[in-house]
Amino acid sequence: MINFDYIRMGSVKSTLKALDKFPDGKMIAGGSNLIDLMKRNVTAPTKLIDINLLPLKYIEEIKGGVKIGALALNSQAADSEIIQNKFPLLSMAINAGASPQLRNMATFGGNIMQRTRCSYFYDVSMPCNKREPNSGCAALGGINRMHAIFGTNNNCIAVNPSDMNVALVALDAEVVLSNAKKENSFRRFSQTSSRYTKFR
Amino acid sequence: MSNQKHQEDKSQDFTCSSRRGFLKATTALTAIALSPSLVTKAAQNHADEKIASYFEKIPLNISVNGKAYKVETEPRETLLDFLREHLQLTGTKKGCDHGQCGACTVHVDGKRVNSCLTLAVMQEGKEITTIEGIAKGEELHPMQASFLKHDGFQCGYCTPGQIMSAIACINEGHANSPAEIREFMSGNICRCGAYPNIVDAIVEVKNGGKKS
Repeated sequence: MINFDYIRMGSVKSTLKALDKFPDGKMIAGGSNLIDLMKRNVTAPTKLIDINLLPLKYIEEIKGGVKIGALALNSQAADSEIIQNKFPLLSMAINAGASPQLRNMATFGGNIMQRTRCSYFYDVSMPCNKREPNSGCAALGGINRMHAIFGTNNNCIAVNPSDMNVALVALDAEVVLSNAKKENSFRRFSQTSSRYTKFR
Repeated sequence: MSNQKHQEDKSQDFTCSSRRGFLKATTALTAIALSPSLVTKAAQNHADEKIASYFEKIPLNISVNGKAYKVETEPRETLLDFLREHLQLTGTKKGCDHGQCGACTVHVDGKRVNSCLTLAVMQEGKEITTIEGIAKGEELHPMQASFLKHDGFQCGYCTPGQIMSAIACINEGHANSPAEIREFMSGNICRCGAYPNIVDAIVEVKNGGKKS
């Protein structure tokens, strides 16, 4: 793994500022996807911004649903009584993915944002528009039996790897986003995911 | 001839008391022998130290098996490498190093995690328990004893991870039936295929020593 700088953040505001300041930086929470990618040289951030101290670990009931913080663990969500009672589909979908150890590390936000498992995305000797925009897509003419059938375009046919995301789309979840300028913006999950999975 | 003699002298400087020590020593010798002159020059000019100090080591307070450590570590070091290379706690195994096999399973604040996919620096203030920390002196942890009794292994490489995972599996309340145990032990792969005996071992501990 190529070495990097490591900083620990204490608030959402300072994290957003740091992300603006270090365009090559990446946030790390559970690390179960990011560290794997760094070991394989698929990504090599110069700065890791540890967000584990941010106050985003909550799972709370709200009117008409449940609000889940980006840093709530996958296992915490799957075992949560609120989710088991109100949205058993979500609990089952989370438990269908990964392993108990990984679900103890991976966060809710990280699960949503995890990268595709397309083998051409992982193979740094192959072109991949996701890994390197405008380099081309090796999967289009490659071994792509397990790739997407619907919702593809000429740039990418990779599938989203998350079991949880399927449940979130089915439940018509909403995502609350923040950036340095705007505190909160709401997006329907189905729209957010298609936007993020195409080109990032 | 003199060259050969020189090498022989040098090899005696390394006391190879263990297999690990031997491997370390021979690897270092090979690296020195193979390094091109440029690298040797850079090493003489302490370029490596300059690079290392640029990527500053980070102070880390961590508790492992009840013992507090105050150390400095490189940000890129995984918790697994930290345990094995720094603390010499080699009970925790490196299998796939990509979070798929579970051989590296340890407990962080009581929760089982894959130590290969988390960085040591991220464990600031955390309590780590490894396979070395579960027995009370000479008295084995019930799960260790049960693995022995039920022959829950063949080669034993996955066993430390299996045992750490099995303890957590019961603590989490996911060991209520053999089927549930199989599902919630799915993060630990055994290439020898000792699964039936592993499940038997966990069932016995779960039932407080009684068979199913």
